[in-house]
Formats: sequence, C-alpha cells, structure tokens
Amino acid sequence: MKPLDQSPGRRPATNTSSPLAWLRATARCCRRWRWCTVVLGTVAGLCAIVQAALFAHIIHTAVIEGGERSTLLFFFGALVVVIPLRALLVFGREVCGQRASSLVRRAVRQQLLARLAACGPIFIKEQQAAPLASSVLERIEALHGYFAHYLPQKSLALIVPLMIGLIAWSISWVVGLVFLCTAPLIPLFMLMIGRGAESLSQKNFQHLSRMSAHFLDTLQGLTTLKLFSRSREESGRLAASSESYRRGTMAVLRVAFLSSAVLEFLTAISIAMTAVFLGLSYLEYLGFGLYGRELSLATGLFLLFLAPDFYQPLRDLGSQYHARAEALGAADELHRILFQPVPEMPRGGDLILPSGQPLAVEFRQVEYIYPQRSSAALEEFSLQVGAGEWLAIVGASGAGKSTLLNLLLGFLPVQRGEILVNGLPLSHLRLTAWQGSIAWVPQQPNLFYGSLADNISLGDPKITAEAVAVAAKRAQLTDLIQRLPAGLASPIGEQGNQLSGGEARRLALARAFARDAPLIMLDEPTAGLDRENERLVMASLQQLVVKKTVLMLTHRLDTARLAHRIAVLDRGRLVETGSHHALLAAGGNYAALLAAGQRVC
Amino acid sequence: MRELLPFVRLARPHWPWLFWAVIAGTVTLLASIGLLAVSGWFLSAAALFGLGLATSLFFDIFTPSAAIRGFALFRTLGRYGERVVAHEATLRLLSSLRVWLYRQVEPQAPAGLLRQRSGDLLSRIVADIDSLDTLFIKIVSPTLIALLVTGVVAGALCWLAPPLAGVFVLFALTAGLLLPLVTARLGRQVGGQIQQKTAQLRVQLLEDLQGAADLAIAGAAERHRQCRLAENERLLGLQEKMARIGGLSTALATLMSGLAATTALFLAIPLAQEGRFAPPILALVTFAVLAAFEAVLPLPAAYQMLGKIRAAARSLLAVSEAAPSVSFPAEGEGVRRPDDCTVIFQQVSFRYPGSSGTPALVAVDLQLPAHSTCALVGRSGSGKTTLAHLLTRFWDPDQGTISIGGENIAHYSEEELRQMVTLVSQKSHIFNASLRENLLLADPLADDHTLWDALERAQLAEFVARLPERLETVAGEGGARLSGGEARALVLARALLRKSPIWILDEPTEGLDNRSRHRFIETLFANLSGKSALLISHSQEALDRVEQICFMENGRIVGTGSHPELIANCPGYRHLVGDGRY
Repeated sequence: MKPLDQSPGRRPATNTSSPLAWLRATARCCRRWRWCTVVLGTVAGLCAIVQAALFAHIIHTAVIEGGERSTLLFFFGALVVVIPLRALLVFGREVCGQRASSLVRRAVRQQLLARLAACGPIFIKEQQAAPLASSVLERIEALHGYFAHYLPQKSLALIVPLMIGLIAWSISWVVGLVFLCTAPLIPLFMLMIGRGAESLSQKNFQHLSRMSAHFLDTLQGLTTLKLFSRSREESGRLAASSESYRRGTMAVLRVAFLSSAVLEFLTAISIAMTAVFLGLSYLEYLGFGLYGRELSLATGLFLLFLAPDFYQPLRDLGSQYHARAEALGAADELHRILFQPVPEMPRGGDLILPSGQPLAVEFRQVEYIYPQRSSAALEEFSLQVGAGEWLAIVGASGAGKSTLLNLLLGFLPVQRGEILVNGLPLSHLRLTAWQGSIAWVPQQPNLFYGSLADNISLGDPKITAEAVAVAAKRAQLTDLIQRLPAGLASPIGEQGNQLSGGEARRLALARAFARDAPLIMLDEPTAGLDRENERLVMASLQQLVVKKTVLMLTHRLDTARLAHRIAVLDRGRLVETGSHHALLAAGGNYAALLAAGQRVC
Repeated sequence: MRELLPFVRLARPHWPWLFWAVIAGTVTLLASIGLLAVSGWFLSAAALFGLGLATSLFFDIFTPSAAIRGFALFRTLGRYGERVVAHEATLRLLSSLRVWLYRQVEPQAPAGLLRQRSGDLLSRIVADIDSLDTLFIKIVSPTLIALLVTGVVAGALCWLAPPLAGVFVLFALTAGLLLPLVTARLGRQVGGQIQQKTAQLRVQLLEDLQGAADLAIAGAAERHRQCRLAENERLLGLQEKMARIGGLSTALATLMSGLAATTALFLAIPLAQEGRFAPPILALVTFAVLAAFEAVLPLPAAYQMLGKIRAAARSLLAVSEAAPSVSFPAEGEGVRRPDDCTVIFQQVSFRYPGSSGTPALVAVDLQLPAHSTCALVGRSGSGKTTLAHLLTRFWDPDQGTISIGGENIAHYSEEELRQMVTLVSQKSHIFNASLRENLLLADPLADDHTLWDALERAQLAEFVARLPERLETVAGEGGARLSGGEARALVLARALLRKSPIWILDEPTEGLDNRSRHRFIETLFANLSGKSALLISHSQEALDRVEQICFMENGRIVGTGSHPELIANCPGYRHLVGDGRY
C-alpha cells in the first residue's frame, strides 16, 4: 500500500492516484446521505444535551427546593418526548448511513463491471475470474462500514464534543478547560486513536489470517502428512505454532490496547475532575472558574451528565476504526483493478457489414507480440479464407492458434499488418456488430445461471422460443431435453443439472445454430469426447457449416481432415497450406506431424 | 443451543482466563457506574451542604473524592485488563479449537477429506473455527458481564427501595433479552434472503466472468451486466430492510435506557420526600441506572451473531463426528516388513461408501512382482486412482484381498505400510514452509548431504542451489513460488528420501508441459531401479518403458500386456491411447 495521503481536501474530486484518495473521491457520490447522517447525529447530540438539562433540573428541584413530583410533571413530560425523539434520530441515522453505503456500493459495482467489460475477456482470464468475482462482491461489501458508519462518525466526533465543550466553557471555564485539556485538541486525539487502532486492527488481522492460513495449509496437506506418517506429530506442531502466533499477537496487542486505555483514562479523569471541582465549589473551597456566577445544583449536574457524552463520539469512532482498515484493504485491490494500466483493447470503428452476406477474411502480414514477451506470438502471418470455405488451422500448442483466434474475435488489437473482412479492415468495423456476425464454439463452453433455453439464447430477445427449440434439436440435444425434468426450461450448471462435456459442447453448437452467423469459429470441436459424443457433435457440425465460412483450430489431424483446406502454424508462422492430401503428398511439416504419430498429445 | 455445549466443554482449560475477563469487564463497568453515581451524589450533597440546608455540621469531602479517584483508576485499569485478558483467552481458545479439530479429522484422513470435502470446504472449516472462537468474547462474556452488573446494580437499588430495582430490572431485561429476541425473529427471514441473494450473485458473477469471451461474442455481455446490476438492486433493498431492523433495535435500546432512568427518578422523588433515603440519592439513582445500561446495550448486536456461530458449531461437529474409514493394528502389533515386496490384488471389489452408482472396482486381479513396473491406463473414472488408493489403505476393499509379500496389507501397522508404499500424485501437497521442511517430512532425520543428494537425483539441485536462500526458501502457498515442473521434482525428491520399495505414481505429469514432462519421466525412471512402481499415466514415453500395462474400463482390468500387444489386441486401449490422446 502506498503511504497514506494525510492531507484531505487538496484535490479530492479527481485525484484517484492512491486507494485512499479514490475512496475519498468516491465518498462524494453519497455526500447528501452522509450529511443527513451527520445532521441526525448532531440533533441526537442536542437531544442528549436537552435530556441532561431536564434530568439536572428535576433533580435540582427535588433535592434543593424539595419540590413535589406533581410540580415536575411538565419536565417529566418533556423527557418522555425527548427520549423517544433521540431514539428516532438514532434509527434515522442508521437508515441514512445504509443509504449512503448503498449508493457507494452501487456506484463502485457499476464502475467495476464497466471496467471489466472494457478490459475484455483476455484481461479477465489473466486476472482469474474467481478473485475478480470476489472483488465485485465481497470487496465492495467491505466498503460498507466505512461509508455507513466511519465517515459520518468522523464528523460527529468533531461536532458533538465541540458543542458540549462550548456549553461547558460558557458555564465554567474550569470545566471547559478540563474537557479541553483531557482532549488536547481533538485532531491530535483522533490521530492517536487512529494510529493505535490502525496498527492494532491491521496487526491483529494479519496475525489471525496468518494463523488461519497455516491451519488451512495443514488441513490441505493432511493426506500428504498421513502418507509420510507424520500426521500425528503435526498436531503438536500445530499447537506450538498457534502458541507462538499467540505470543507474538499478544505482544503487539498489549501495546496497542494502551491507546484505548488512555482514552478510557481521560474520560474517567475528566469526570472525576469535573465532579471534584464542582463539589468543592459548592462547599465554597474554590472561588474561581464560574465567571463570578452562583453555581446551582442543576448546572453542576448538567455538566456532569455531559461529561461522558463529550467522549462518547470519540470512543465510537475508535470502535469503528476497523471498518476503515477493512475498507482500505478492499480499496487497495479495487483501485488496482480500476486504474492499473492494461494492454490496449481494440476499439473498432463505425462500419457495419451488411447482414446476410457470406464473409471472406484476409490476414495481411499480421504480427502480434504479447507485452513483456520478446518473441512474437504471430509473425508475418498472411492467409486468405474465402467466403463459404472451411479452413482448419493446425499446430502444436504455442504455435499461435489462440492468438489468431483472439485477434479475429476482437479481443486483442492487431499490432502490425491488417485483417480484412470482405475487403474492409477489421479495425474500421464496429466491434459489437462484428462480434455479432461470429458464432463461436469454444473448447470448454461456459454455462450461465439460468435455464437450458436461456443458455442457448443467452438472453437475446431476437431469438424466439421456437428458434431455441429448433437450434437445440439441430445440435442433437433432444436426448438431454427429454432427460431433464422441465425440458428446455430446466436450470443447468452450478445451481442446477450438471452437463457432461459432450452435452456442453452440443449446447455451444446450439448457441451457434440459434445465432445463424456467417462466420463460425471452432476450437477443437471434438477434443476430449467419447466416440458417441464425437459422432453426435460431428453430425450436427456438418449441418452447421453449410454456406458458412468456418475457421477451425485443432491439433487433431483426423478432425483437420474434414476441412476444405488446412493451414499449418509453427511458432507463430504459417508454414504450409493445402488440402489434406496435397499436404500429405508435399511431405512437409504436416506430413511430419502425421507421421510422428499420433504420438503428439 | 445444544450444539454449543461441546465447545463450552472444550474451553474448560481456559475458563480461568474467561473468568478473569468477565471479572475485569464487570469491574470496569461497575467502576464506571460508581464514578458517575458517586459524583452525582457528591455534587447534590455538597450543594445541599453549601446552602446550609444539610443537617450535619461537617461535610466529609475526602471519602467521596477518594472514591471518585479510585473508580476512575479502576475503570481505566479494568478496561485495559479486560481487553488483554479477553484477547489472551480468545487466542488460547482458538489454538485449542484448531488442535481439537485437527485431532478429530486426522484419523479420518485421507478418505473422509478426499471424497466429500473440496478445498472450498476446508476453507469453510477454517472460517467456522474462526467464527466459533467469537462465542466467548462476543456472546458469553458480554452476557455474563451484563448479568453480573445488572445483578449488582439491582441489588444496590433494592437495598435503597425495591420498586426502583424492579423498574431497572424490567427495562434491562426488555433491552437485553426481549429486544434481541424480537429483532432476531424479525431479521431471520431477511437475513436468510440476503445470504441466498449474495450466494446467487456470487455464482452469477463468477459464471459471467468465466464466460466473458462467450458473452462478448454472443453480444450478451451488456445484457448480463444489466441483469447483475438489477440483482444488485434487490440485494441492496434487502440490506436496507435489514438496516432498518438493526436501527430499530439500537433505537429501542436507547429508548429503554432513557425511560428506565426517567421512571426510576419518577418513582424515587416521593420516596426521597417520604424520607426513605436522603435527597442526594436521587442523583445517584439516575446516574447509576443510565450508566448501568452500558452493560446491556451491546447484547442485541451480540445475539445477532448467535445464528452464525451455531451454524458453525453444527458444521464442525458434523465434520468431527464422522468415523474413520480404516483402522490399523497398533504400533508393534503389526506384521514385520517382508523381504519380497510383491503386490497382489486378488478379486478386489470396492464401492465408495455412500455412492449408489456402479462399483468403483469389480473383481480386480493384479500382480506387481518386486522390482517391476506396471502402468494403469483407462479413462477417468475407470478405477485407476481407486486401485492405487486401496493399496495405500485410504479405504479397505469390500471384497477380495490386497497383499504385500504374501501378507494382507491390513495386518501391517500404519507406520510400516507407509514406509513400504510411497504415493506421488499431482495432489501431493507442498506446504507453505521452507524447502527443507518440505523434504524433512519424508525423513525427519536426514542431514544436508542426504537432502542435496535427493535433490540431485530429482534434477532439482541446480535450481535450489541458485536460489538465494537455497534450502530455506519458502515454497509459498501450495508451492506457488515453484513452477509446475519444479514442484513435481520437489515431490519426487521427497519421495526419494523415503526409500520405499513400492511407489505409486498417480498422474505425476498431469498439467506439465511437454518439456517438463519429458524431463520428469526421464528422472523418474532413472530412480526406479530396485523399486516396484505402479504408474498411472498416459504419457507415451512412460508407456514405452513399463514392463506391464493394465487397461481398465468401468472398474475392471480388461487387458494386460505391453504397449504393442495391447494396441494389437485391445480395441478400447487402441482407441484411447492409439491416436495419441485420451
């Protein structure tokens, strides 16, 4: 984490250079609710002051003037109004805080999802989906306490003590001084709690999470330990390491707790000093500090009632400090995703291809080098794919097939050379429209939350229920539909019915059928399938490719054989093209691959 | 609540710490109450005396001011002591909870953990332990403190005038007991909905991110994003509902504390004027009641956690109560290790406990003569790994016997069997500890020379020698600081230190690239002399080198022979291996 920017307000609006600055900038979007929270908190503080005055007055009248209870009914009545009002304000404060936090979490979630969409699938794959998903969900949830409680409390910890301090000062400068001296300038105080609480919660958290990680590591390795017959000794080791973590943690905590003890001490001592000063004033031992006025019991009790309230907001702030630490930890990661520079994404142009036309694709001297990689993934790659042609691209893994695919899908920008679609440069086409003319059948199709039908149409309103049914049938999914309890409407995937690899592949084919796109890209269409599934997939594939341009990546030569033409890639370069028989006869790379036997895996 | 009892018992050794934490907490609160109450009384009494209205001629200022100073001091020390002691207790408890769980789980391993419990579930166990740990610091201790403080204050009030105590206890119970119960009931449904919605959103987000490419090409990315944002709105709505319930609870607790003080004062004024107690006691009562609520106010929030803690306790008990799947003869009672380590499977059948489907192994006969190598080949799910795991006694076969050197493996002690059979698999765990510690698992007494020799033979010595911290290099979580090939080599080096006569290698090259795989297989076979090896692999290089290949289908061995023989005679094998893939 970068050193914390301790100078708020310098350039809060646009400065997103550090996680903390970003958090502050984000806080602007919930300013209104936050101020509502602060105003309600302030009014609740005022209620507490009124409540103190009422109690003080009632006790004064009863003790000094011997007033009957019946004469005090008005004041009791006022208490019965003020106390519920204060409770109501506390309720309102909670609701407003939640609103503020909701606004922020909504905004950040939108921002993050938009950012991920803009960064593209390649970035998501590199960063891994699972941690990103937990950023979108859990890490954003971790911001809650900071915006709902900590930030408003930070203002209240300044306002309420100031209010009470001024009242105390106006009654007696000695009591005012006691309050002020025990809280020698609130900012300093806050810094002290801050430092203490921060190091406390961070270190505590670090230690605890390290202990948990060690325990998890041991559990995960239990099989290995068992196989080395070391598992019983390990329980002793576990105890010893927990013990040493405990000692380390306690050494830190013993010091860290001092800060809260100091706050406690100051609260206690200020109450004690106020009480003793006032008591001695009543007994006329002291003749100063009251601006020469007579001190009534009501005034004295009023000050005493206020003393704990003076410190309460600060103590609340201290107890909410962990929310800040938690939010900062989350902000660190969120900030990284939102602002770290990412490799450029293809932007696309405005051109839209007329629909319903067959597509021809031409690669001209295309080159691609991944960032931080010295050798090119694709080099001087030139190839024409005619409209309606079925082309197989063959090569060992690492030959550049996936790079080619990602360039054509618009997930990677063309660095050198050109890709032309029906004679138009790919970079001039509107990206979404271009992607709309592709049907892609990946090796491992992803299933999404929802029904089988939803997974075929992917929510496209243009694809009717009949079209989905037809696509499913053509993709040989009939047996699956019959097996599922609710047919096409059955939920599938993680939350529903699991699909086998072959069924998932056929589902991807159904998606392609439903889209009816002129360009079809296939990635290892039959890899990993058993014979029955292979037959089903090939049968529906033969239907799909009619009158379409097809690009098929494979390293299975028996699948490549089905294509009209085969292009052989080796280490980023195109080495051969031709039909299966021509290539075999030429005795080049392809023939060598074939001879090597089927050994390649 | 019964599910919490075992954990309360488990905490018994730490009861002194918990006791002192409760005492310190109680002292702190009582001191804080005393400070305000005595101060209030002192002011009133002093004011009365100052005005000459008091009956006595002498006002003792020393006792109250000493009491006030004392209370202030006790409050400070008590608070500090409470925090230190409570954390000490928590950490000690955490440590014993972990050791306890480990001891419960250890005999069940690996079978119990292997099949039903994914890594995710293990993380949940760890999280459950962490949340169970808060049972004492967040629930038991505040409850006890609240009871003690309420008791003491109620006792004192009762001594003054029983009605005052009655009012106080009534309001305290409402705030501390009734209110938490009511809000818990109100919050249960919404809480469940929030949990469900969050889980659903998590799955949806994960699927959308994993399928980002599919969605982009299908033009569905924006649609899906809008759906997720709509789901998010629903989640936020539920959370606001929950916040209203929480806010209500806090607000009502504040209300109770104010009303309690008001009512107490209302009742006390006539009592004072009747002469039941001196008028300054009015201030004492008001302050005491207000301050005493500090003990009760944290309870509603505490009880909100109770549901989570109970769920954690239930799931931990379920984990700990599972029975071990195999038992070994006690140390020293087992058979001695034989000279000839021939492995024989005789008509072995096995079905996973709790599975209703097809059996995992059906009447398997297999002979692995000493110093020979055999490869098991078959589709995933054909029973290869099960066969290997039966030999290490993760489970016992339902029928048939497995013997080593003519002796049923069930007759060997665990130590003896583990010494004889070493399993290397892609799941072999690398601990987040130094390379040395990882290696010493296999042979705790090995010296540096032995370790380097094993690294040398596993072709890893050069790599380790180049690391700045050499053997002290920490491997990282799951061996994260090693490449795939290096991690396998480390596992191999560790296995070499075992000097076992029988090795099982379960897909040792799975997930390695071509070059690393080639290197691993070379190294492996160079080290296999004098050992028997059961190798589960589809690597062509390995298949060429083994003496015998068994081809498995649906839990049966359907073909045995060399690679060319099986290619010629076994169509299933030809189909699976012949085209270079499976």
